[in-house]
Amino acid sequence: MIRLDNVGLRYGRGPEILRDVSFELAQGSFTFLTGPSGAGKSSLLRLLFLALKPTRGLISLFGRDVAVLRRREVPDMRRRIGVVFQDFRLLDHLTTFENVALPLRVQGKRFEDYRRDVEELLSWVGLSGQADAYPPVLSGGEKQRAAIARAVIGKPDLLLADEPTGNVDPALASRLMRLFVELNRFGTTVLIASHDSLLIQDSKAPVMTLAKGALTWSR
Amino acid sequence: MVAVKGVAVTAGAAKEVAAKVRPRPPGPIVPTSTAALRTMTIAMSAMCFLACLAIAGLLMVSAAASAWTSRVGSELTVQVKPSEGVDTDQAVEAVSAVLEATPGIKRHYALSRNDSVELLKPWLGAGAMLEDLPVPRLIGVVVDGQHPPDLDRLALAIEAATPGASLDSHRRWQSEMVRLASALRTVGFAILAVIAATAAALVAYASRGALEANRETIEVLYLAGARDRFIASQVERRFLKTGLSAGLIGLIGAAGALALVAGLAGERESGGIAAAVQGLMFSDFGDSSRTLALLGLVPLLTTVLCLTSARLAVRRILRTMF
Repeated sequence: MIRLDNVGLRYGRGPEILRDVSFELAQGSFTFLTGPSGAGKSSLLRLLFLALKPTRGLISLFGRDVAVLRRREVPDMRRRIGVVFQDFRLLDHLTTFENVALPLRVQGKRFEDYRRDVEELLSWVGLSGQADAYPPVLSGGEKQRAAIARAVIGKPDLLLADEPTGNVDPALASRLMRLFVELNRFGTTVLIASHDSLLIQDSKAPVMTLAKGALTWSR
Repeated sequence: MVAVKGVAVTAGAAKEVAAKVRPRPPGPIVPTSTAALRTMTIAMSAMCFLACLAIAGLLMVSAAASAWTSRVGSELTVQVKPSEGVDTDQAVEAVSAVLEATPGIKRHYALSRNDSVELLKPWLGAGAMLEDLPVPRLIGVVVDGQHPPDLDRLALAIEAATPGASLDSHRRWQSEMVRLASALRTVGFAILAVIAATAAALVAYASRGALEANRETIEVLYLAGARDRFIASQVERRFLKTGLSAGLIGLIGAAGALALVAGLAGERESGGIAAAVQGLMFSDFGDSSRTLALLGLVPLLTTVLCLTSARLAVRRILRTMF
């Protein structure tokens, strides 16, 4: 599903953020990525959702070497990846409903066809009352849930989440984790970058730790 | 079925959701009103307004120049100067006979001595002195524009018919007018070219600014799996609206300004500004439809300019992603 071989990344002429990172995630796996702030977790996720190209090394997604992907093939691969951004990246001029529906809309699906799915998912994440609200009036937790709903609405094969429970209370964090677990149970590969040691301890999933640009496994 | 694999939602919950959530059909993905796009609309409206006025001015100059030159070119004047020992009336008759016999002349009319004196009164005053002056006599000649006479031969024939008679073909004036008209046309085209170049630079700069302001939207769409052509079409839809509305605002503004000028000018005399503006819009069908077509091109070209510029700017942004 995902394979990285000796991947290195640096921004411009700065120091290497990631050094010789190698790992493999099997299809249907559930993995945590942790490490101190600035260790390169978000950069690693950005490599995986094709927002960055590595300075060196090989990244293979769904059996394809991303270095040789043609530009027109990238959107198809992106549609198989759901991403929860740390800063949510909701569009302020769209309602919560429209933000969550965005991945389906860019695929050309019709409003009548996706409306019910979006409504049900909004209910699941507890945002059904905020469907017509715009992100600037949502709380941090509500934005986070909207971002999660947008990431999973397209039933992705791979879910990448950057601190997905960072702004919610423990009860809601646990509920959201259940959503990820359910997704994983039905075949989605899940990689969650998190600082939340309690959340990681509660789960029995393997943990990758990034420190000073290098990766180690535990569990 | 719920969107999330395996996440069960009860029928009751679904009903509750349906009751609570009644979202409207989705609006445009690219924000409809941003400061950068508003500024662009205002600036482009001004450019279109100026372009429409420049085109209207060019058309009016062209129409006036062709009217002047055709009128001047179709009329000749024979001047019969009084000479010692020559009866001027007889001299006029002799010239008239030559004109009568010359093919290519539609008609001619001799001004009487009194008519000639009347023409001189504004300059010399209405004193008795005019009666004593040897006043030249004038013969107006209207030539057949399709088959004009040989003017050199006609001039020789008139001079031979009577001493002191000469033919004035107004060629000097005609060529001066043609030169003036072509200079005015050149200036008009230069103004149009400057407006077009400024508009192109303005649109390129403004669309880049507007898209940079929407970079977040473009990035999110890109990361959500949108194809380049989907993103481009969403952006172009917005710029289509901007280009069309700017073009139409400029066109309507220019039409209003021309109507105002025509109204303020007041007079309707031939050759006046009001008549020129009216002639622009309400001349015979062929001319006014050409005017409308040329002015209609302004919003059309503005829209094409906005779309092209937006497409280039969005491609530039997309190229920086992955």
